[in-house]
Amino acid sequence: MRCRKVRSFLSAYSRDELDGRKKLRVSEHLLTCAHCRKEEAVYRQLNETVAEIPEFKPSEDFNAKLLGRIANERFAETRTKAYMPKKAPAFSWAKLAPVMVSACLALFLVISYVPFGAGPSPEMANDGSGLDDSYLTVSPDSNPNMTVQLHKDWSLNEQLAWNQKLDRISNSITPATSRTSWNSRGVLTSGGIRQDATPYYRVNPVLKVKVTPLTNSKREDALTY
Amino acid sequence: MAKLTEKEIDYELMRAIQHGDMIAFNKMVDRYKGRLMNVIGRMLSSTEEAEDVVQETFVRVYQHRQSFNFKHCFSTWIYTIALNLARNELRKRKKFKFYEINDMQGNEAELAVDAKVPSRLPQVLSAAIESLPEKYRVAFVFRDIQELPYDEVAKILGVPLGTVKSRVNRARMMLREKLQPKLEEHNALSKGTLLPVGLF
Repeated sequence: MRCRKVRSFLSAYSRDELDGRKKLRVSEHLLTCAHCRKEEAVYRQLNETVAEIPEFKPSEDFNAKLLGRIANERFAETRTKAYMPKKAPAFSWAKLAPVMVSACLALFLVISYVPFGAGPSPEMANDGSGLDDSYLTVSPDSNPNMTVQLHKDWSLNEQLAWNQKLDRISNSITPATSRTSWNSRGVLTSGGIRQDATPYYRVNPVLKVKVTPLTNSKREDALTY
Repeated sequence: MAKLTEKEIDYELMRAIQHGDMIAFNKMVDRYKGRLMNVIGRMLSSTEEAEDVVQETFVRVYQHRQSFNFKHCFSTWIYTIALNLARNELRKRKKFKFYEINDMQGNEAELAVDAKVPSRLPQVLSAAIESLPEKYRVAFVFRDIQELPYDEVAKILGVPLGTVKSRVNRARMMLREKLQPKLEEHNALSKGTLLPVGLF
């Protein structure tokens, strides 16, 4: 290997960076060439000196300054996130929700308090669906199982008279023990269950109610009942 | 339990930093501030400016901690950030060139190298390194001062491995050329064969 070629490898050789074959050839050359040996010695001294050169050292308060900067950075990040103005959306459920709830509530109140048709129609009262509240159900003291329906818009006396009339008709057919009657206090009473085996005919005191359209005053009474 | 390698320690600390651990961040600063100061200080030849750049490097690391890719080496990442910031600083210097009184009297590095009176060799070498062209200086600092492997230097500088080897070799040759007379003089002095006039 010639000197020129060897010199290009000398710095790497001095730091032991060459692989086996190149290293061997440079070593062989250095045994015979004093000039290259001198140059190699300079490189070795240079390497030793590199380890001694003064270092650039950070100041004592390097960490404190840096952590202060980082703290500012974190604060700035938080502030930016908290106060970043956002573009107002054209449509927002969050804004619409209270309006919708208010509207629904108002609608519910209107439906609840406005008397559409003002009570049940006469046809409704007569259809037997059980939804008609025009009747009162009363039970006699002596027989709680027995119920009689009274129309609350009729006069009680008229109804009592009507029931007594029915009772009379019934008594004319059935024995007196089982008859139903109204006592002096106007409470419907029954004679109880028949005990003997005599056959009888019983007409249940079901009122045939003739429903007439209510007048305004009666309608009010019905609503406030 | 097996001892963790440097790379694994970096990864552990980085994971902790990503979870907001400031103690881990402080440890990372302690691990790298000296190395970065040494590299950036030699690039910028100024302790104050180097410290500013290194601080900025750590701030950038903190800001972009979540984007760190664990496939890569942390040291490569942080050195690359620091190097880019230092290059920006050098570019600014070229734009706005500042003249100081010392500059009017001659380059300090050249003065130190060319001085007739022998100085301490490490200082002379330090001045000689600062006088190298940037691309050779950076390669030399990473390889011979920081003692990073060639492949990592290549990654940091973003150049092929062969280019790094060539630049390092060239930097060493330039330094030898600059320092050989000084070294010979130093050796002669230490052997007592040469006594320069005015030294004693």
